[in-house]
Amino acid sequence: MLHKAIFIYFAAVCIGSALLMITRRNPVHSVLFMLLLFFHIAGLFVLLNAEFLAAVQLIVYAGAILILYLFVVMLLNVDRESAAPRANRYWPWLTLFGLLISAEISFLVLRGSFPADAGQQPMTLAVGSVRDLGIELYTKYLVPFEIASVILLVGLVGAVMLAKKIKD
Amino acid sequence: MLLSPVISEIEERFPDAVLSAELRFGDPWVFVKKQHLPGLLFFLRSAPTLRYDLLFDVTCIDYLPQLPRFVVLYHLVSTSNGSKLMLAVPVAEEDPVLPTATEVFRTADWLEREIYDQFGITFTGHKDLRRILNPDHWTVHPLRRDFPLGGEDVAFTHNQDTLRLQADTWTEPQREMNVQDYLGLTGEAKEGTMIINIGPQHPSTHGVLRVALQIEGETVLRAVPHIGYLHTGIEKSAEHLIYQQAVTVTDRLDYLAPLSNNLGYALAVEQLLQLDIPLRAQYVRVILAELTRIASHLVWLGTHAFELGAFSVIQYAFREREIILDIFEELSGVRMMTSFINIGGIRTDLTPEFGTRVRGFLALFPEKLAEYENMLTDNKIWIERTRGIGRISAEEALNLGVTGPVLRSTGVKFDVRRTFPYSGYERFEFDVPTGTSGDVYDRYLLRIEEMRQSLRIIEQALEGLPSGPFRTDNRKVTLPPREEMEAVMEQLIHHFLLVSRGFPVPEGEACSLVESPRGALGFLVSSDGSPRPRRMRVRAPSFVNLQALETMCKGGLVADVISIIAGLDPLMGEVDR
Amino acid sequence: MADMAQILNIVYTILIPVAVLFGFIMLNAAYLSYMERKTLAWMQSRMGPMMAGYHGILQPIADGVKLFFKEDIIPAKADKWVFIVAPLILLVMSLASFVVIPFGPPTRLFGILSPENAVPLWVTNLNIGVLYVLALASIGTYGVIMAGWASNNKYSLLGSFRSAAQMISYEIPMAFAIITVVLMAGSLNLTEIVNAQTGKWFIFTYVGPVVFFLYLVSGIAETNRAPFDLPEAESELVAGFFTEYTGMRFAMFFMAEYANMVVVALLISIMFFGGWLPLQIFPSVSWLGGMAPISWVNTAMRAVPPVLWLLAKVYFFIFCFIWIRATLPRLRYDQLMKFSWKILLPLSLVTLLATAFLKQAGLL
Repeated sequence: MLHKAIFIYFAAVCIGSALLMITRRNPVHSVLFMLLLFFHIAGLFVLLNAEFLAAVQLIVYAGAILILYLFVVMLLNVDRESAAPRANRYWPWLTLFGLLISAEISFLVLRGSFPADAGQQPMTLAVGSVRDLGIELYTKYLVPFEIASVILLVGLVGAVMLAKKIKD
Repeated sequence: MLLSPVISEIEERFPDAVLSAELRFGDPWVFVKKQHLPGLLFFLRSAPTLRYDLLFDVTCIDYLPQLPRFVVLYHLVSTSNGSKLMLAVPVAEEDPVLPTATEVFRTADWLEREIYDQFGITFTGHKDLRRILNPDHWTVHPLRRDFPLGGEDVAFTHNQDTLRLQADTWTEPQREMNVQDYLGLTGEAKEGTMIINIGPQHPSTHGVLRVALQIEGETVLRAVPHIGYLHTGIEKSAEHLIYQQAVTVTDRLDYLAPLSNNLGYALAVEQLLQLDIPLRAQYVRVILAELTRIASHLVWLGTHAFELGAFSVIQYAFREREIILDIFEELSGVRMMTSFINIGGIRTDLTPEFGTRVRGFLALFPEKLAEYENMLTDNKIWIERTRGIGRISAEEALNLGVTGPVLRSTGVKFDVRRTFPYSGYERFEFDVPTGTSGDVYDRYLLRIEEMRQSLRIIEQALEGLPSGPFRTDNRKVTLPPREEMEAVMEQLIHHFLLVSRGFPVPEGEACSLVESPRGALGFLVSSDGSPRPRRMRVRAPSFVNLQALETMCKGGLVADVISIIAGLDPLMGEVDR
Repeated sequence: MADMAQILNIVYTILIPVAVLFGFIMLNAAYLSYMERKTLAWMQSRMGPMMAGYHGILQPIADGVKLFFKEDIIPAKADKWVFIVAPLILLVMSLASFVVIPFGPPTRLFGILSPENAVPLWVTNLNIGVLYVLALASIGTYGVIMAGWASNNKYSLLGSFRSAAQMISYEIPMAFAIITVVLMAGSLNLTEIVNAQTGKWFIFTYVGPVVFFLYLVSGIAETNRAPFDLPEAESELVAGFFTEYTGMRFAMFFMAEYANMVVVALLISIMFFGGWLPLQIFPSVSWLGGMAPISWVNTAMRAVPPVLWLLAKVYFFIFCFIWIRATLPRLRYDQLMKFSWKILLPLSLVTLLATAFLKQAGLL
């Protein structure tokens, strides 16, 4: 009962803030609604007993990535940004992509590959347990994990190179 | 006519420039025609035998009703061979135009702006001839003799109405001006830069200094100081006071070192009066001046450390300054504006307590200095924040007219107490510390060392303090003693006249140089023979030093600006006068 | 009926502890400001607040009342909602950190309660307590940025940029320091981290002092305290990101700062100084520990309630923060960044590796 109420609250705020995020004229406000969204997604993770994932969601997405977005957006000339026309000449393509993605997600959901009562079931793999997560990552998924880290390293080096070039 | 080798050299090089020349109180005064001015200044600076490398002051005297009305004075000093020269340029009221000296000495920039502001004399070729102390919308030139005291309207509110009122009196170019030009940030606006104002209401500008910063990120591209917020017309006020009264307004110039100002002013007037000051008074003056130096440096140390975040030092520094102020209070009844050094000597004789109190301070202070040094000198963060910051070269510093600890930090050994000794400084043994790199850290070390040297001087002066009168016995200046006054009616009348009308001072001009805690402080007093000065000019070291701010700040960070202002130690009471 | 029990359960396990905790933090924030002012005054040969009550003991209350009745100004050009929300975010995030912090083992209130009814001295014993605190700290940065941006003031904006850059930079060595502790304890749970130190506090291990230094420095930087108080460097940026704030909103920043200070002090005590564990002299050297005077002292120290131990450690570290503030000048912005990225970060990585090796070698 309580569980359901909390879930409804989180889900509703998620959808609401996501909508507000894409409709705000002021990009700074959009970023702040995105923060709200991340926060509530983390709440959903907690409801699923995935506490670790919730914490990581906040630390990585909200604490690191989004804050850099906010930095960039704040340094832009917000007045000029929000005065620009809402729909530019790419809008048909963007709409098309949006529809495609929605269709894909709807298809997956309708196909019913997600258990409807995921939150209620005791997890076979306790996602919240860091130890289990670590063991899985470093044994079963070692290669993808390492590949991901190499890709991130490449991104890092690339960013440093780009920054250096601008300075010289 | 061989008054001085300088004059003959000038006459040789510029045969038709010199109008007349004379020696006034040992210094050569050369009256020249204005056409030759920049060339003459360049020659005086660069000629290997002369090397007048410091344009000490540029000022103006209004000789109304004499003709020509104005004389603009260029006071040159050689830091290397210790000679002074006054170039005087007569300027007629109908043609108040002079060629600028900024091409030769950058220090002339603000000094010429001040003359333009106060006297209405324009300088052709000056790049930025705006008012500097008075409000921009004024049309009058307050230091002219025919401008009445209190004749200006001052807007005490600063609301929209007064702004609109001011705007009505603006000239067309002023109206067209954009914010950047108004702030003196000329040149094309660079994309991605930002203008921020530091001050006039800012916690760390030592009063009401305003610095317009143009920054890119946090890097300072330009830093233009705006002054005049504390302009109280002290020079004008002094013209309306009798000589002895004017001592009190000098207190208000550099309110952290009032006794240095008293001394400078008294020395100038005493030259005109040709008074001999008793040795005891001279010694006491030295003791007081050095105590003031320590008190002033303590405020500098405290505020400097405070502005860089080390906020315990200020409490310690003020604790010791309190002892000095207590000494002053015991001596004169006043803690800061003592006016204790006045024309003719000192105001009263020393109290019996004075010696023991000062000795007590001398015994205590070295230990306290070590305590400050313990907190800062080897502190890694302190060094990071000050070393290499606000660096200026010796040539630049001299060209900008910088004096005092800031100049000495670049390695130029110019201390007025040593180069042009006054009040018996030649009798005392002391070192003039110099720096090497001209950065804020050097200035810090130097001022700490100066406090040590001041202690040495005080100790010697206290040891050798002669007995005898504490004032000149010249009754034209000194009040008659109480007993005589009570016995002889003439003496009572004389006392009354001295206090109410003052004493006349022989006609002429005299200037004095003293080493105030902030640099070389100059007083120029011009007398028309009446008991009130025709002109009292204060060459304030803070005012001139502040011009160097932009040179020091350029390329640094915003945080460095604070460090640099603190290291310059400007005092707005003295800057704005 | 079940619902009734559920609701009562919520009241007992959540609402009452939260209320107690809230009261504790608020009182703490108020009296920490008093402690700070008095300590600084003492270090600077001054008196500090003296007027309100005996030796100014009522000063925090007077300040609170004053701030409460101050005019609440929102600048005309400010972004109103962001301006209002910003201090709330900062305050809520710092207050929320407290719910995972254990203040001691479950207490039986000096034997009044039976062991199974012992009251836990925490609101929730989260598995990932440490990560939760880190996450909230990183969200707190938003409060600072939003406040600076919404004020529409150049000083505020510069202050908030500095602050955000600083907080992001110092979060990384801070996270590494925490991970090193987690590695030593083998758990992300704060209670277990304390229990892992029963034999030997982590500060007394080989890497302990280095990790402690890393966490201390980045913790001070994270709370924007001297010598890292650049965002609010009053001598440069007036009051930094909260220049435009007045009254209660200003007080919120203040409370958040003090609450954060307590969180950092708590985490230092918990992660390095054994939390509520009493200090034991030479517990590992049996023949020394067995000596009569030493064992008496050890017994005496075990008799002190655990909560008092924790609080004593916390206030000691808060005192250290104040002490540092009284002593050190402020770093410059670029020096601060350089310090984080070029010194703290590599150092923290090396420590992490060293700890892993030591742990594997069984030397911890």
